[in-house]
Amino acid sequence: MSNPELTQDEIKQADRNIRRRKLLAIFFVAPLLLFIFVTFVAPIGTMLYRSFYHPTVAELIPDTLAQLDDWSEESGDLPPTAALNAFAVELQTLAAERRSGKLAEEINRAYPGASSLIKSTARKVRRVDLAELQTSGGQLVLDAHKKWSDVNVWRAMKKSGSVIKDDFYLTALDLERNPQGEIVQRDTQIYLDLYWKSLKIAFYITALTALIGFPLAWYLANAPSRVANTLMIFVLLPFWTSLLVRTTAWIALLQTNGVINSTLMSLHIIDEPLDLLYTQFATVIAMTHILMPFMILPLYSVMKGIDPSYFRAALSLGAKPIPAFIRIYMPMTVPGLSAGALLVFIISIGYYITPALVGGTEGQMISNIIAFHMQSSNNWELAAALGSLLLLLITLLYWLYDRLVGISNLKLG
Amino acid sequence: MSGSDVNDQYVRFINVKKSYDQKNLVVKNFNLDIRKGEFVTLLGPSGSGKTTCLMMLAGFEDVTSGAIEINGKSVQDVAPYHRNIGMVFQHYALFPHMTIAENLAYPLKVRKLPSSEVKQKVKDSLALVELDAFGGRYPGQLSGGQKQRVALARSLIFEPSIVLMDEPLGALDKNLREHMQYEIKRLHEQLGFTAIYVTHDQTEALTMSDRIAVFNDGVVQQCSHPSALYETPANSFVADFIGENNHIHGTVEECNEQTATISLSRGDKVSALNINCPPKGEPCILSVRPENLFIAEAGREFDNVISAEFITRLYVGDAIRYFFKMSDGAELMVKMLNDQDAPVIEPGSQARLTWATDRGLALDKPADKDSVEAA
Repeated sequence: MSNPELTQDEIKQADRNIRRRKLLAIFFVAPLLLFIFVTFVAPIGTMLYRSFYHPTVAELIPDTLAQLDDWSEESGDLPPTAALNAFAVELQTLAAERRSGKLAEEINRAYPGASSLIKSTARKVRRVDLAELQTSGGQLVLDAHKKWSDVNVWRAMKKSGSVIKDDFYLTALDLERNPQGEIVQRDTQIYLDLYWKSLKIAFYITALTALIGFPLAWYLANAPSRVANTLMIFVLLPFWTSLLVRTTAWIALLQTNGVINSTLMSLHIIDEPLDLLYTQFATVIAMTHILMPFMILPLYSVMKGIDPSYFRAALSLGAKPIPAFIRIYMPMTVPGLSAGALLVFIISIGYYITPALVGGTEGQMISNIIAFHMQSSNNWELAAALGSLLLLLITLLYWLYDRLVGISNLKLG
Repeated sequence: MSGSDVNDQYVRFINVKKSYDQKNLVVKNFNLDIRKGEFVTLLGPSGSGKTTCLMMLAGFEDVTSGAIEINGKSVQDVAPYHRNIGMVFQHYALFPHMTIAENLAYPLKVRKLPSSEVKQKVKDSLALVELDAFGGRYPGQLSGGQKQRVALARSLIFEPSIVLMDEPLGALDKNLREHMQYEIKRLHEQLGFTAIYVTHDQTEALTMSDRIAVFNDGVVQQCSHPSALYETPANSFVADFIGENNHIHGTVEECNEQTATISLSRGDKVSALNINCPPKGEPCILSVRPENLFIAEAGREFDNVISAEFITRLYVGDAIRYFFKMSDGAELMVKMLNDQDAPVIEPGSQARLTWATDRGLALDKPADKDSVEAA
């Protein structure tokens, strides 16, 4: 034991070994990392980016926007002639390339009614000689429709032309900019109400799954293994059936002439069918059913690990069964309960299929409106903004949960 | 046993039977009277029914047949939380979400004691187990021995007259176990509670108990003082289970009240005390403890001498174990102190083994499962 220190060579050798092990680890993880990046990180990144970066208008009428830069929108005057001429020229080009419709759609969001205005003007400038447009195109545009003399059209155009904007976030939060550029509330609250409703529905579902799941998980954890295993299959059965099948089964149960209504009517409990389907109630009940395993499984695994001697110890110390259960047993189930609640809450707040199928208008959640903007209204930017806000909301809730319960307290399985 | 004195029959098991499936009996006709303040150990291999007896007394299992009485009253219909029995569990069962002080206060709080009294008792209790500074910690921050002391303190804090301990030291390492044995004994002597202790560790049972009930197969084989169990075991199971033992098979040649003459397979005739000797002509077991068996070559010679082949010796430190083989294949062990008398023998050579008649025990054949109630 002469020299307790490592020589330079030994240190190098050890470093090499560590590096080789790290490389090997990266090699094993690489396919998954790549997969996650391509299918998860990249789309979400694009979505976040899209919610505030919007170059469409800037690409369509770059010259006009460059001219409009010098124009002060607060003045109340129309933009200078040079800007109007440039717009006329670009409108002709767009019309020839059949892209004026895209511009019309974009400007229309900032200035309702601009769509038909731009389309009709585009038709008028299409056949005009280019040289004439360059010199007096502006006047031609102003003559084409009286609305062009409204300063607000040009303000809208300049605003739409900026590449980075918060408009979609404002819309998603039911806010807008008034002509003075101040942020004010919109008259109708759509999205905030929807967020609030989604939170409420997710909360109901979480509470219901916890209420129903807790006793069942307790029974499963304490039953003889043969019984518990059989029952566990029933708990897991929903996992093995298609989500659509389960949801449509709820339609069959809840609809006007469905199983529940016809049974209740044949028993003369009710005289006319209840409105069960296409309500918030339908969303809550169907999603409670679908998400039940996510509550039961973590609860079960935690309860299974609780030594029965804790409860016995409490009894031997003189506690009656119910107080002992509440004071001793329940706190030990918190890791499972909170894991289950977190899972159910976060899954349900962004749930799409079930509310879309059984929720009707009353049972819609935020994800349904996001899908609507993706598929029907073609407003991907707003969809992206709504989605980003949802992501933020969930992160916020997760943070709150960490503060209150602690993530280290979580036990999933 | 004087039946009239209620203190001598403070806890009574009367013909207790227990079955979980109505077919197999886990406990078969268990009878035991426990004196007030006595330290009784239920000792036996796992699955012998000792823990079940404890659970029945605590009220966590019901009695299939028979009765359990505490202080002259049957506890059949008394709920576990009304029995006022303290219990120490093998894995401590300290509530992990409560501090040590809260754990100790729990039984007092459910009894609705005023908070000043609770505080004082918790303080005294922590002092009793020498953990004064640990009241604010959580069980997870304590070592195994400390947890066990807290569990002990918690089972004592509400002053139960009976404390049950279910293998309380099973999860501790050897040194700590010995220290805790001493600790439990000290508390028992200081506070004078009636203790019923379950273990499968015979050393633990021998050092701590006033009386030991040896369980096997749902039946009490013998219930007696530690020295009686060790020196005059009622049957070969007890002889075997408590301490180390040499078994020599033989046939009863003759037996009277005190001694029995046994002929061994090779024709040697030896004598031993008649403890539980079958009648003449029957096969029997002769049991000699390793420390009572001597090598004649080392100097001492007693009434009985047989010869055996030396195999090997095991060095244990304070003692040396010599292994011998008899001509019929049975192995014998001699335990000798590691002093200058300890002989060195050539492996394979013949040696003469010797023991005194009053140190050999003539017992039944192990197949014989008749229960013997000594107490």
